[in-house]
Amino acid sequence: MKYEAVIGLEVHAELSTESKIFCSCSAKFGAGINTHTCPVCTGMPGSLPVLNRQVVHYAAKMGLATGCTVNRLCKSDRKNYFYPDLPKAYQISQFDVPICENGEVYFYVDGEKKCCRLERIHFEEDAGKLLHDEIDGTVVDFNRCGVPLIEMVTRPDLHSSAEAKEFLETIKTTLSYLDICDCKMEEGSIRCDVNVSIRPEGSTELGTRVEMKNINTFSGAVRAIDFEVARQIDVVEHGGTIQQETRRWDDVKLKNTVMRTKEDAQDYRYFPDPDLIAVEIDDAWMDKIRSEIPELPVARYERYRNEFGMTAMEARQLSDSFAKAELLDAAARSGKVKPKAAANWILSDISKYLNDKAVELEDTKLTADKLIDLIVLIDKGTISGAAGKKVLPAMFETDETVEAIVGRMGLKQVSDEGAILKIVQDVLADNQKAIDDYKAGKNVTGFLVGQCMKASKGQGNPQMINKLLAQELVKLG
Amino acid sequence: MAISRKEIEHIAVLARLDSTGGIFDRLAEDMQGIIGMVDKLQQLDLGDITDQIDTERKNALREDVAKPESNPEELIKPNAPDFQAGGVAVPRVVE
Repeated sequence: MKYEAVIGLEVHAELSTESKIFCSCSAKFGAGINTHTCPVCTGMPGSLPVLNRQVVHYAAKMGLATGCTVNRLCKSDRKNYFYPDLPKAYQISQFDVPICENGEVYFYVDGEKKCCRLERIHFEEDAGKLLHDEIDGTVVDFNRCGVPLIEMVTRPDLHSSAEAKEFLETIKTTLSYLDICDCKMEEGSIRCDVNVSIRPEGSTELGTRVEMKNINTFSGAVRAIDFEVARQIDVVEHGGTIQQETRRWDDVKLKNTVMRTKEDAQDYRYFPDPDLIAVEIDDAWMDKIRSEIPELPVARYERYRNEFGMTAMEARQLSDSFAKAELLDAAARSGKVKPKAAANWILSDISKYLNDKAVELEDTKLTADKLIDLIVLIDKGTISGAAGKKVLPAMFETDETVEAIVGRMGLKQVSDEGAILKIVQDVLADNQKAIDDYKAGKNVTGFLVGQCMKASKGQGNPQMINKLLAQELVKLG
Repeated sequence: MAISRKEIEHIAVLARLDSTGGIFDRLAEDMQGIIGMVDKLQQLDLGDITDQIDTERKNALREDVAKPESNPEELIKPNAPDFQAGGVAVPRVVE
């Protein structure tokens, strides 16, 4: 029998606020153990949480960007469970009235547009971290306690690991476009739990689902889903039934093991947090949030494909990075350069420089105006394309204008016909053997152009050299 | 609503409590009392109030400004039964 996988995801993203969700401790990653703590985030009796305005702002921003209804009113609830990383023994989260509901995320898988619905987005606090290597035992570091998270819960709309991966990538680029999460996977900024079930192909019923935890990378999610789907098919094919349970994914051993069965499922006993009052987002606030949302990655991808005529891969690479997409669009908007020319520079030499130096575009001195100037200089024939590549590093590293760099490096192309003709004639005079070869029917153009370029110290306009050389050779008969 | 012995045992497991000791019977009795009080609240006539959210007061929000680092020796150490390597030491946790 053929089976279809049914997959739902719960994605947690840490919001890039300065301070924690309910206290003024820093929310930054990587500080000394317990140096970002206070009575509130360590759950001391008598301390009171106060919600960070920016958390509400960011959560609503993600909601608007994913087509959710953002609730004008929402509240905070307590989710009770016992674990050493949670000093209050409850997590402040949102239960029956989350900040956002009913969204839709669109993404492409092998050229086909897909949609995954979002059931909800809510804000909540992260738990602390258990360190196992410091002592013979476990040390609890509360720095992460109270770091703001949004949890995005999908409907079971995904049907393969490839779809899950593209969905996750889209969530990641959206978070990065909105500038609300640093998206550092290695620091756990985005984490996900996966729910998997299988059903006979064509069936519309939902099978018993298994939840998998401990998935830290998108490629790990792919491996975890592929393993679990195969495991469930194997169980069913051998006459067994799937148990509703939570399994832990081990991305080293590439298998999962039972963590909790239905019998010891958590009973979180949610109830409204009496320490926190309702949150209201009024029209003015909602408008402000909406005004901050840029054109999103999938919309740009489609525009680059349709209006700029880019390939799927080009459009994807450009729209994946907000900074690169902004650079391209600014260059295109100027009307001075062809979008395709700007895209080529961004995808090749600019991307190569950023990769080689391991820097982000926004941390360099390259601007859209500089890129436009560079392309215009090449288009006008002031410099050659090869010279343009030599100019580029200085465009990233200095505040000089492109003209100034070109002048300083002596890269201005010689397009003066008289000067080039002189060079061509001198080269021909010095290369009698090439002329003999030419007369014998051999192709010597490449060699002679090279000699002319050398004689012009690389500054001769190659098209003009080609043209004049052909002219002179014809004269030699 | 009466709470069954089985439900109490389940909650004890979730709360990592040993349900075998004699004190447990007294705790079970206390719990029954608390549930009885909530039952009584449920009998209140709320008229036409159906709101999920109390909106009488709202938006007590703080600005996103971080304060300087704290010293775990001052805050964590005096409150931890066992303080090591800057943190609260607990028995090795492997779930």
